[in-house]
Amino acid sequence: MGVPSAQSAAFAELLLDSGLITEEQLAVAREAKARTGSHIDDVLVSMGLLSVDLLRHQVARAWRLPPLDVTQPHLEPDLIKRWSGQMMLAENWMPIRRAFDGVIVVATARVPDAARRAQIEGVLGEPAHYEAATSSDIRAFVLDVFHREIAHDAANTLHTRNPELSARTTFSRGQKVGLVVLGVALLTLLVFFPVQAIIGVITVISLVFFAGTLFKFFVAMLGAKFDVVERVSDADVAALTDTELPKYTVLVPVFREANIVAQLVANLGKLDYPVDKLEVLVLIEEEDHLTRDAFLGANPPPHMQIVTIPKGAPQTKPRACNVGLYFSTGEYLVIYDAEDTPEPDQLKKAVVAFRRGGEKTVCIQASLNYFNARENVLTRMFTLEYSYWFDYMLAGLDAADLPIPLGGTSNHFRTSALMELGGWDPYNVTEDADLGIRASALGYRVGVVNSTTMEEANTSIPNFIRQRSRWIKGYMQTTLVHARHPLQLIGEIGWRRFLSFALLIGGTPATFLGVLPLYAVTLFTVFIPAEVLGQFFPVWLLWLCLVNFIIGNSVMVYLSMMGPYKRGTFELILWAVLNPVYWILHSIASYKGLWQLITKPHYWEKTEHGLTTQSNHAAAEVTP
Amino acid sequence: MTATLERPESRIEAVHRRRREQTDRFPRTTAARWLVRLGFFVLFAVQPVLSAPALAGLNTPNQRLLDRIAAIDWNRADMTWLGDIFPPLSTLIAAGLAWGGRLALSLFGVAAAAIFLQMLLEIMVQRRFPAAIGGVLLVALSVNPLFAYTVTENLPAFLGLAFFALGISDVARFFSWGSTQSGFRAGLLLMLAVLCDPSALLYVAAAAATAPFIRLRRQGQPGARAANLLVIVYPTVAALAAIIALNLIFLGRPLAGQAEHLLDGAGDRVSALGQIFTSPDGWLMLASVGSAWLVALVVRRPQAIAISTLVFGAIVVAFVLGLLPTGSAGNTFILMTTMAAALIPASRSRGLNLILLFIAVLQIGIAWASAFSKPVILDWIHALNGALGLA
Repeated sequence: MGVPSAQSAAFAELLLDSGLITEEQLAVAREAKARTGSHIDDVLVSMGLLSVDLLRHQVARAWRLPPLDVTQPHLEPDLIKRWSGQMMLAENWMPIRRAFDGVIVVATARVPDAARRAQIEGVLGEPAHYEAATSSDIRAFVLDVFHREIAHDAANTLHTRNPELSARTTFSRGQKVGLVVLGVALLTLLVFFPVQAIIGVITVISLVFFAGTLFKFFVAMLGAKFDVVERVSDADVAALTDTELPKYTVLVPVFREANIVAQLVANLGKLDYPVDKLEVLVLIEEEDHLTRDAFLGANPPPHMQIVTIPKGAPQTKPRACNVGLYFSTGEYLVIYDAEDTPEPDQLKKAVVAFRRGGEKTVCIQASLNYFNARENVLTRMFTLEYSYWFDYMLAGLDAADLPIPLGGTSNHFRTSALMELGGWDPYNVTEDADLGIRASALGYRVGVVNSTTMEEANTSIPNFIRQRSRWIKGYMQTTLVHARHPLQLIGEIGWRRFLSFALLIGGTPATFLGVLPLYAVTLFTVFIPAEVLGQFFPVWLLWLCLVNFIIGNSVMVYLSMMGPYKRGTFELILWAVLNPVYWILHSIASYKGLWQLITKPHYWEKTEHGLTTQSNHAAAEVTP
Repeated sequence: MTATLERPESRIEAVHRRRREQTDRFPRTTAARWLVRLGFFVLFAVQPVLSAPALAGLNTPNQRLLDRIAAIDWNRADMTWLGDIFPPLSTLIAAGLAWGGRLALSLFGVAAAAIFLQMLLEIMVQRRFPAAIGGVLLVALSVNPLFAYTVTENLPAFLGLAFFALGISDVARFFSWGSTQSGFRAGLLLMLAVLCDPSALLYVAAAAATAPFIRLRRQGQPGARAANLLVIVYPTVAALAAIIALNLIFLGRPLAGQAEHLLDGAGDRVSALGQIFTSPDGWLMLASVGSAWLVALVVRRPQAIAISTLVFGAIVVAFVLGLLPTGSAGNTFILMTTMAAALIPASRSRGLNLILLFIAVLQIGIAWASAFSKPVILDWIHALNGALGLA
């Protein structure tokens, strides 16, 4: 343990003299400071030994400065906005007003020794008076002053920088023209050559279905090679020391989730990461008082703080995340939902994975699985599908170095790279998938890590349809965004990755849109006389349809049987045969998504959480 | 957020990523593997190339397959037609090669055999077989008239056997090593075997029946064995169930085309069984099974006795049900020998390895004796000798 600095020693003595902490508590805090390299004041607050108000008054005494009056700070926005809010957050100081003598008053959360004064006054270009503050004071005032700019940036940074990469414009002019031409051509063909046109449509749908099935099969089989491989082992995690761990930001966007928000305090409280290097920002919309009250009522620890999301449009999760990104000070950042239960060592595993992945690895996706798999048929199917997706499909995409569409939560980022990428697209309702593809398109790499976050599987069909309609609409948006210049995209990422993108992101909605018509065609073929049917099904097309019917469906059912293997949840395997029924729900959702893409593309179809009757805590303890 | 969106100059190289565990290939490089396959191909292709014109009149399974293909109306695709082309995979492959006649089918069989033998070699290397045993087993399997006849004159049966043998080795990896990829590949290989040769349906059933006898890596995980079983049989069951469902929907009966006549003459074949097993040919078939039992005892895997017995039973039932293509010969020998190579672990004891080597050498004798006890093979050898000027 190193020798404390003079300021630190004085501050500690003051705390002891004031009776605010005991010798033992100070020793524990100093040990944590030595272990993690954090500031003693941050350690004391994050360990819950000192409240923010007390800290402010104590540092003020120790530094012999007046404390910042947080009740009446007399902020001067015009003055403050001359400098960057993010610089203030990063450096833990902010100008707040001019004093009566005309000198700028600066609130600082670090001791204003000579070097710091010189640095601050160098930035200001003039001398300053100082008041003692805390990091959370700085964050609150930055949000207060910059909320309009933050709200604007959160919604428009990506669009301003590169409109082509944003889903704010759903269809580009070229796409509109192309779709109209295609529609007119199809209608014309249907009028003048109805048989050939129908044959053409059935052929295209069948080929997309067939190619998508083959692609998923090969990728999942590749992923199956690695299901017994521990990418980051327990020994790798154990070898990490607290000192070398970087600061980590956890963003938890919540909206109208008062019923479950308290749960996150318990769930994220189990993360095995030094709390003074952990910044949990709970992102709550300005008008969502119920959720805010529920969260505060859950008595969150000091390192979990609320960031209020300023009102603005679109009111989406990615916009909230962009606000969170503005306030993030961690080297790495992860998104969790309120009901998520990540494995305790997930952040450490992600740190190891980032180090191994090299500078170009900008994101690491952890697996998602579901604690309420056995609740009903829908949750079983949901769990089967996502076990296959996260444990095999993403592993296969990773092994083949193909673009990985990020999924929902548990996406870990290098914060600086995320900022370079332009953050999340608030106009895309699957902002995560879009970001994964954008990262790949820009030459970065997205990887996976062998850690799981337990979530709540959808328990009700209407809720499922709502959720899926958003996801499928988002895939459509993502396809439209990244296919604005297909030839350019092929030039950038190559044919192999382009085809992967087309089959996975474009093919998924297309396949689901095709399910209901293909089921209907299959059903009609039983009743329609062979001579009528024969003209629409030449031999080669009948063959293709037969292969799709026999091989395609069977292979897709078979692939979902892979789902339970990694986790040994074998009781789910037989449920895979119900997939053809499950796909009907997807198909219904895809039509809803398509309709919304046209009528309200940026509308965020909210998924209700907390509908389950099962607890996630028992499940979290048995995950491998 | 002031940085611009620019494409980084270099992409991450996949090669920099951490190497992951995988089953070693043999030989190590792709080029070397293809060289080995090419070597096998050249070795086995000589015979059909030189003898093709002289064998043209011989009524072999490949010839009958070509005759059947010629009778199929390829301008329709209804359910009766689907029955006509059953087993679809071997029929379609043969249809695609029909322009080249029997020689094309033979060369396709040789190409398939070359790939199969390289994969079998790889499996033996992965199972740490001593080189001598592996080499002798490979010779025992492939350097005899039974193998050559099946490869060059009975494409459906050979493809069925090859897919099944590779599938069963994946089944072993799936159960014993816990390799998910192997399990799902095994399911598909077994399905392909059935889609090439209906008799493989019985082998698949036998493979399913052997599941309780294979050591399970996931011992103690509830439902693991049943799940594994489902994974290996599902593709076959799904493919057949889909065909039967379509037949039922559109034709009102489960089978169509030539598939409807599979069971014709089953009674006669039951009575022929007695004759077969009291003849030298039958004894030699039983000798193949006996060798498999002996190997199982030597490596202390008594459960392998059950496996080989079940597979042999499947061959007998396939014969009775008429699922074996007419003119088939050597299925038992090829199946038992490939299963020994694919399933039986090598012994670590020098003495036991010597016994295994002896059994492998014995297989060579059984193979040649079997070949000369089968009229079908004798006719073929006779015609071959004539073609090559050896008669």
